[in-house]
Amino acid sequence: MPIEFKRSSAVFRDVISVEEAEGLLEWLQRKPGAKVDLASCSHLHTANLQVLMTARPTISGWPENAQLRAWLETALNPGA
Amino acid sequence: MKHVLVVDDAATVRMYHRGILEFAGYMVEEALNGIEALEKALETPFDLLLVDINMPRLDGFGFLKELRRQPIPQPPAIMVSTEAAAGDEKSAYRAGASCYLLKPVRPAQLLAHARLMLGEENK
Amino acid sequence: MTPLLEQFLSESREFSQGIGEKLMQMEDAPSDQGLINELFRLVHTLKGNSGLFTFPEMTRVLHAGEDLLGLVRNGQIAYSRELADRLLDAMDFVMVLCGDIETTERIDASRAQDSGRMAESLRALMPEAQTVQSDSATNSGKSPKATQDAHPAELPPLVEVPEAMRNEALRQCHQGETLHWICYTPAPDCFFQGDDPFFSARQTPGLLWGSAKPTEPLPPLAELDTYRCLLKFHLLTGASREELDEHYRYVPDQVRIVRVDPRWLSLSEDSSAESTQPVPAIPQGADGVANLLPAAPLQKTAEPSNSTADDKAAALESILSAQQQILMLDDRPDWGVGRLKAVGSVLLNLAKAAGDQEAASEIEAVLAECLVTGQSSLLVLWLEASRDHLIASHAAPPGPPAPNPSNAAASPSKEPKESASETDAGPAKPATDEAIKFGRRAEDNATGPRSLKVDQAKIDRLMNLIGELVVSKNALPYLAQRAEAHYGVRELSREIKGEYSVINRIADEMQDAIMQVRMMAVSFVFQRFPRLVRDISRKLGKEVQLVLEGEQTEADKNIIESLADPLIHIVRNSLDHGLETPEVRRACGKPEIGTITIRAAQEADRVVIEITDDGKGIDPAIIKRKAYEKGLIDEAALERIDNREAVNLIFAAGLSTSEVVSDLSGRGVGMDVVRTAVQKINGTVVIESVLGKGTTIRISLPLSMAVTQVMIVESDGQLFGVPMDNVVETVRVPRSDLRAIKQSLTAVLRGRIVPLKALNTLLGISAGPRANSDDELAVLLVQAGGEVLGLLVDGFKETIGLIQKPLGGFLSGLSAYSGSALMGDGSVLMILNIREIV
Repeated sequence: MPIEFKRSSAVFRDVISVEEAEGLLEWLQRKPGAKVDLASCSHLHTANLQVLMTARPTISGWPENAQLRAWLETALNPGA
Repeated sequence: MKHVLVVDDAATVRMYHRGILEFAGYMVEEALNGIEALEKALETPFDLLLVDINMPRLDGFGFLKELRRQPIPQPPAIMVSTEAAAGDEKSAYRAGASCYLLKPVRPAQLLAHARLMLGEENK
Repeated sequence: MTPLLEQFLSESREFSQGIGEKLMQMEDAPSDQGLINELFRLVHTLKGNSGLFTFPEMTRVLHAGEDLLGLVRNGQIAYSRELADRLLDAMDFVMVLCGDIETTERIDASRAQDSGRMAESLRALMPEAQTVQSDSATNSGKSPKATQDAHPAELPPLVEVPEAMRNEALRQCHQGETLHWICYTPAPDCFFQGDDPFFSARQTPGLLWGSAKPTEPLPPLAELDTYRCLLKFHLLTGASREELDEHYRYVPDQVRIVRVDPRWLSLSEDSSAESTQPVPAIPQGADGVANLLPAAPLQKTAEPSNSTADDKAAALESILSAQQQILMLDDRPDWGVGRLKAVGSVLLNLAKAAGDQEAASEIEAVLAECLVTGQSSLLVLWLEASRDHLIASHAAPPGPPAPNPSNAAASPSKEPKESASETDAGPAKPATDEAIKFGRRAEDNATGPRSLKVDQAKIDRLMNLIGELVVSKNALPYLAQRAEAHYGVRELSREIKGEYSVINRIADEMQDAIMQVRMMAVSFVFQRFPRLVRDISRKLGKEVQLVLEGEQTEADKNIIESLADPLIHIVRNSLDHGLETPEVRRACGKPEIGTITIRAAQEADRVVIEITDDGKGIDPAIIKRKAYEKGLIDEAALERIDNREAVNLIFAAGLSTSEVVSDLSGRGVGMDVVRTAVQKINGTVVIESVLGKGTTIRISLPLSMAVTQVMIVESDGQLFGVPMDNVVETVRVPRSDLRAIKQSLTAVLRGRIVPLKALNTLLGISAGPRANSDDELAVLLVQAGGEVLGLLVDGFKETIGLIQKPLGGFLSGLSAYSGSALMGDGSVLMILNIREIV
């Protein structure tokens, strides 16, 4: 599974496709304050990105992929 | 060998569909409009029909309705449309289509439908 | 080029032409519902065809055209000239794209912007509410115009770019690099098309910096719609415009690309302070994102997919749910039984395909019951109960396992296309483009008109061969003569003559048959006039009605083809100088709308084409004066010539119809061009004009250029052919009747002074003309360019029909001859080019 849902954190791995978005949304709706680990994520579909941008979960690990990290930090960092 | 009738006013689309169906080993006949299709279908029985909607003289809906009125064995009909219009799919079913596909139909998609509707076991 | 692509191009051209014609017809009958339906169907079909290929630039324009015509068809907007104009432009654009495809088999990415503009200009004619749907980028409330690549009214929000990055960009600009700013606003429903805009944005060539932003305030988490795209992307890139157009070629209407002006980058400290906290620039090429996903998401999925298992599962799902929908229909039409039978056939075949005999016999039983009762409810119940079982038995066979259907349901629920799960490549390659052969087959001819397309070279060869046959058969009478005179066998001579008459008849028929093959209707040329007249008259602000008559009149292909240019010139002249503006016409008491009539008819062995306008006519006095001023006629002629002759002076070289140099009729190039072109194909042209009422130009052309009737004349012991088109009559004139006026020889014939010239002199032969025993000279009256002239020759021979061959090799430079022909005795006859030698 590209997203592994643990008790209070979700771990993203490799490429997260559009099909994951619905599940991710439901999980985040049920678990306010959950953490998301993006370290091993190399790409996530726009649908997942906008779920994260709406939910603003705590990011416990930023992507090792520097390009993606730059994008996500701009998008997910609460605007100063 | 299974016989398929491809009904479309566009020669390019007929060639495309025929190419795919002949590739899979079917015998293909063509008709340019609903009238011609009706004549052909009443003359020889077909195992499957591939029908466009918008055609001159008699459109796909008109053709299917008339065909379904005939006291003959009724072959499955795939209606092919360029429209994403919501009403068209239901109109197709009302007229007597067996399923509804949007153009352009991918070859694998067309063959998957054709094989199932022709009752052919997976090879 | 594949036959499928060839078919596509030829059909596209045919349809574009048809669309143009229908639009033209609609000008006269704007509310003809039949025409509108037909027009809609043509555009719709053309769009459908283009969708088979990856030609988004063409599809986009046609889609907009189809939507527009759909509204006209439903009466939501009215047909207008502007609408016709834009649709005609769009069809021109389609033809241009066809040209691209013909040469390179693809459409250049640079066309994407034009395509977007073209589509927008069509959509701009639709009521506001209609433009929101389909493929436009109006999701963020922008008007379609905003996506145009014009200089932006507002500066791109470069303040978003962190200062470090901005300074770096500024440095690059100063080094001469061109940077682009992109605002990419994906369509809200783009996920359903299989797009991943974030991926596209990350893959943007030359990306320096980028950010994702919501297009609207994001909703509370509980109300978020996962399948609606709410994001847009701002990007700064060092890539060229071409690269960017190529990358975004499928969504040009969703991106705004602006060249960055270096001044925008050097923002004041104040504005940069508003920017969010600094964000590190994106390291370039740090990883190969491209390798992570199977295909570029912007690629349209028209290519054959490889995933049999997925396709089969999806097909099974869609077929089953369709059957359920059909069975649930609550109408009771008179074809309902047939419809029910069809559902039965489908379900039965599904069971067979799964190898499920048990299900098959169940279906047969239930269907029989339903047909008896006329109720479909039993079948509905059976389907509900057996659906899962049927799906399972399809998944069970040794073939590749089908995915779990509940899994498929988790993908976008309103899925309009079955494109979601194409990413897993299946094991087999069932249907690739290379494997499928798209081609025509012989039976196709049965469906269309029974005609054959033949390369013209083949027809020409056939015609040459027949020409040789005609000539060779002429050797037989000589042979018969020799048999009798030389060998003294009269019997044989008679038999040869008998055989000759048979061969002669067949050869004549063959010649006639090949002429028929080469015949073409003048409509080939006429069909371009409605558009031409419309465009030019619009440009000139004139109202013109075009009437075409006798379009089915036929003539040889060469004649028809060479008719096009002179005709266009004449019609342009009429529009430009003949027809008046509506105001002038009204003042003259004429109807505001002028009329140009082009009429074709066959008269004996000639085709006559008349171009008539009801314009202001030509003033013979002006023509005469101008001809005199330019030295085309002398003072005597100025007095002598009548109005009719004066008007025909318009064909003289150097005389333009109007002093005004118009960009339509050419820069002072007059009607002499027309005359030259017509004469080249042995035609004549005359003009009649009534001042204030209008002008008629009459072109007369031979039906065929293949057989020329020539008169054979003798001069200094040699034979020459003179085309009968030039021959007026033959007379014998007593030498005593010749008069010398100003060193030139003349004779008075039928009350007219005719100049005489010796053929020998004209051909540079020193011998003088030979008189007969009564001291009479043979005079062949010929007409050349409207003038009649007497040719002094030694004697007249017979008139024959022959096939002229153009002179080849070094002879081709001899302008005195138009060609040569082989005679029955093997000798060569030179055909005189009368216009050149006199």
